[in-house]
Amino acid sequence: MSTTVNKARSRKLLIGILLAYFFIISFSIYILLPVFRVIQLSLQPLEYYFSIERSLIPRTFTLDNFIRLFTETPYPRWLLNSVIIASLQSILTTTVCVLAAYAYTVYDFRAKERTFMLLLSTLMIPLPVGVPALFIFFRILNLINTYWAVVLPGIASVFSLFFMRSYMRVTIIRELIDSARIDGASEFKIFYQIIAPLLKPGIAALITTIFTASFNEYFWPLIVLRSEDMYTVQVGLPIWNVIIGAGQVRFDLLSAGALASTIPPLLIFIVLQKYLTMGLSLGAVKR
Amino acid sequence: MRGYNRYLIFFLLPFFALFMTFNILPIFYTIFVSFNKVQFYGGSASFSFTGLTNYFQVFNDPLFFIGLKNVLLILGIQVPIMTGLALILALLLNSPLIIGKRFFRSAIYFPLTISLVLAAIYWSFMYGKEFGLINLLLSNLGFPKIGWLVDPNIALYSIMNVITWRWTGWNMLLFLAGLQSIPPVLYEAASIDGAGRLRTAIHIVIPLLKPVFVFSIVLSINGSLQTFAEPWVLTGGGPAYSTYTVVLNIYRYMFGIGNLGLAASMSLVLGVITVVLAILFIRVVSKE
Repeated sequence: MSTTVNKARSRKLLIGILLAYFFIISFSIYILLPVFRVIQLSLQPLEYYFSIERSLIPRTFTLDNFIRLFTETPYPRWLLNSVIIASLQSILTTTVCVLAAYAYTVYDFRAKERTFMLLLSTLMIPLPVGVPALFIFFRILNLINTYWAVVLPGIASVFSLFFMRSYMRVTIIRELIDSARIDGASEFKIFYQIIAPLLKPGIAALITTIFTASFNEYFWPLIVLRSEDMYTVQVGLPIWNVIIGAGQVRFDLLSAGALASTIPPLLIFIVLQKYLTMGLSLGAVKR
Repeated sequence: MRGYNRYLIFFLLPFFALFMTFNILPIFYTIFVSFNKVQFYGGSASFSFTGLTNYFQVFNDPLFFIGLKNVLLILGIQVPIMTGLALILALLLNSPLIIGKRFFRSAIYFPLTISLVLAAIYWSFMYGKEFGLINLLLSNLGFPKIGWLVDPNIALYSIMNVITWRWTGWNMLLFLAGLQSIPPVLYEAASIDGAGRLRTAIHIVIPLLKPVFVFSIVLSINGSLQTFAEPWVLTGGGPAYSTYTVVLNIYRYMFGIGNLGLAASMSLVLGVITVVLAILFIRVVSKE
C-alpha cells in the first residue's frame, strides 16, 4: 500500500471521528440542557423566570424554593407516600417473585415450560386493558385511595419472575441442594439458609429496579389515588402546571419539586449499578 | 425430585393467586364490563347488559379517531427517528475509536431514571412561549418565538420530542447489549477481507442486531399507542385536540364522563389494535 493511500485513509478516518464526536456531544447537550435549566430555575425566585433581563447564568442563588416546597406545600407528604408505595412494592414483588422463580429453577413439575411461556406471552397484553376492571374491583373492595390499590396489581410481576429465574439459573448449583437434602435439611431451610444468601446481589438489583419503576409510575396511581393527601410525587407535581391545575404556574415549586423527585431514583440507580456488575460477575464466576 | 413437589405450592401459590386475581381476571372482567352499563351505589356496582352499544359508541366517537391518528403519527414519525438515533449512538459508543464513552453513556441514560411526568415537567421549562429556554435562545439569535405547546401544528411534535428525549437511552441500551454479544472474531474477519468500518457496520453488525431491533420496535409500538403522561401533563390533549391520545380518551370516559363500560370497550379496542400491529410487524420482518 502506498503512503498516499494511507494518508487519505487516515484523513477520512479523522473526519469520521470528528463527525462522530460532534454527533455524540450535540446529543449529550440535548439530553442535559433541560436538566441544567431545572437546576437553574430551582435555585432562583419565581420572579427570575418572568423577568425581562435574564442572564443565562445568574449571579445569586437561593434555596427558598426548596424550603417552601418542604414547609408550605403537601410535597413532603407526597414524597412519603411515594417512598412507602415504592418500598411496599419492591419488598412484596421481590418476595413473591423470588419464591416463584425458585420453584421454576429447582423443582420439576407438570407443564413447567408451558406455563412459563404462557406467563411470558402475557407481557404482550397492553397495560390499559385491565385498568377499567381493576378500578371497579378496588371500588367494590373499598380500597380506592389506599396504598394497596396502587401496590397489589404489580406484585405478581412476570418481568421480575423472568429476571430472577435467569439469575438463579447461573447462580444456583443443584449439587448444593442435593447434598443439603442428603444431610436432612428441610426444603424451607435449604431455600432460606443456603440459597437465599447466594441470591443477594440479584435480589438487590431487582429491589432497586422495582423501587425505581414504582416510584416513577403515573397512570395507575393517578386513577386510584383520589385525594391530595394520598398523592405520590408523580401524581401531585403536575397540579402546579398551568394546564391541569387552574391558576398561575408555580415554576418555583415545580422546578424544585421536579429536581427533588429526580434524586431518589437516581440514588437507587447508582446503588443498582454497583450491585448489577457484582451480580453479573458473580454469575460468570459460578459458571 | 418428585418427592419434593409437595413444597411446590408454598413457592408458587402466592405468585399464581395474585397473578390470576390482578392480571388475568381483570382482562376477562373488562370484556364483561364492556358489554354493560356500570353504575355505582356507594360501595357496590350494578351492571345492566347493553350488548354492543359501547362498541358502537366507541366507533362513533370522533375523539377516538383523533386520538388514534395522533398515536399512529407518533408511531410512524417519532419511533423511526428515535430508533435510528439509538442505533447510531450505540454503534458510535461501542467503537474503540471514541474516548469518554462512560461519560456519554451515563448522560444519555440519565432520562431513564426519571418518570414520564418529570420528563414532561423538565421540558415545560424549555417550551414556554414567552419564557421557555428554547424561545429565549431563539429570540436572542433574532428568530421569532415559536408556540411549542400552543400551536396546534407543532404541539404534537413537541410531545414526540419529549418521548425521544426520555426513551432514546433505553433503546441505545438494548442495542449496546446486542452489540456486545457479537463475537469480536466477526469484526476481525471483516477487516481481513478489507471491509471498511462503515461497510462492516452496514453489512455485518446491523443484520446481527435484527432480534434486538424487533424487540425494541415491538416495545415502541406498545408504548406509543399508550401515550398518556406527556400530553396529559404538557397540553392536556390540546390545543384543538392536536395532542389528544386514545388513553387520554379512556381516562376522560372513566372520570370526565364516568362511563366505565365505554372505557372498558375502548381499552379492549386499543389492546387489540396494539397486539395486531405488533404481530403484523413481526410477520413482515421475519419474512424478509
